[in-house]
Amino acid sequence: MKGVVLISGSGSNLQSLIDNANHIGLEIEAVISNKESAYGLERAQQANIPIHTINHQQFSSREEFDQILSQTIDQYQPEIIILAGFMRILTPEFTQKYTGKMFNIHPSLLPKFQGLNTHQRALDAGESEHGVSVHFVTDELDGGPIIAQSRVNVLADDSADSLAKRVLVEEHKLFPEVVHWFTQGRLTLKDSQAFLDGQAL
Amino acid sequence: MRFIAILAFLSFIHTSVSAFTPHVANYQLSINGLKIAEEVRTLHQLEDGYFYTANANTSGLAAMIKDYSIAASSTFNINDQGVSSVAYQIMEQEDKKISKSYVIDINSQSKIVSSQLTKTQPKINTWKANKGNITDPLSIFLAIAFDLKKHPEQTIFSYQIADGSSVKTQEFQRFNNQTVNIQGENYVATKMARINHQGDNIQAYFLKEYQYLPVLIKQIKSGRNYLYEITNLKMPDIKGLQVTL
Repeated sequence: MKGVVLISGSGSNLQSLIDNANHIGLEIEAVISNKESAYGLERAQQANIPIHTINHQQFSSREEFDQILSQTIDQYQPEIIILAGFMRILTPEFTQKYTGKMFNIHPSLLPKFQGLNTHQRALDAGESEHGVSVHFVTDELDGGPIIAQSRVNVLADDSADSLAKRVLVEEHKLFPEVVHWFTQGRLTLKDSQAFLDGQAL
Repeated sequence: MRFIAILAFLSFIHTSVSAFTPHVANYQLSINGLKIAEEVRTLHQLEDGYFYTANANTSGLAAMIKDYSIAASSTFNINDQGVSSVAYQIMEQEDKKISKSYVIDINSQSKIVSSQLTKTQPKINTWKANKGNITDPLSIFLAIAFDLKKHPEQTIFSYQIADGSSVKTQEFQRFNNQTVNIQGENYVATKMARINHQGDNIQAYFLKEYQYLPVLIKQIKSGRNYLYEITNLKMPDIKGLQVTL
């Protein structure tokens, strides 16, 4: 299945998708970043995947940025769009266009800790468990239907960094698995509800 | 001229760096004298600002009646006018269901506050603010603490507060030091009260020896008496300071 991956940073989740691409039935047609310095672009180049940088700072509005982003995506006619650490809020027009085929990975057990600094917030809140969620993207901030989550225990001596590292290990396992469900046609979105093999999640 | 510019720059850097010490403060919330919840407020220093979180959960008898929690966070920085918020978000859950969730981005420079779409905020709103810094419902008390320290002679302080439904200007007045009782001990604190405001009344008390952090907040809201009382304060950067009040 043809896919496009959107990133903003180091792209470690992108790497796990590249590494697993063959056996999850994913053909990454392009990687798009809103930051030129994103290390994920190098990862893509090393895997001979076309890259694009669309610097959001060069646009006066979210709408303009999203329009160019959408045009760039559409030239590849992807069946799946994967947000792998893409740190931009997307406009409702954009998210609605790709409803049902756009996925995001978020480092928290949603609905807890939407937005940024999730690991520190989990620690501050005294959570005993933390983790990662993969969800369909809708126009709500980290609020689309949840598909799968993976949990880790919060340890007494955890820092935000140590917790992030353990969550990242789970991210790298969970995201390819969910993408695989979709490429196999087992995962769908219907009436704002995620379904796997016809069963509501 | 260059020397003056360097001095001014160093002074700005010093203000930014030393404005607050990272800390963890525990508060007990009582409503009409009944202990309802415990709240932990944690301040982190970032490279270019601060990150402040507040997490409250119902406790004691109240927890048996209702499972209620609030998680809020504020990202802010310090400029020559004081505390300037960048982002604020809050999520309230009742019996594990989201009852309130909103996220706002704040830009004091362009005088714009805008919301993001969440479960309980289904429409993007944008509010125009006046010139000057904008704070939020969480960082407002640190904004006051900063100003009490920086402007010891000033008595009236004005703040623009963005809360997800509006941006309103609120004024606070400094009163003479007062003795307050916290956890059975008397402390001399600086009193601040909201003025020129119709409706809910807020009084907050700040301890100079603890960087003017709020130790007691009294609020009358919808006819009910809310009381936030500090119970514990940890400032690891100050020789492992831990105070149980």
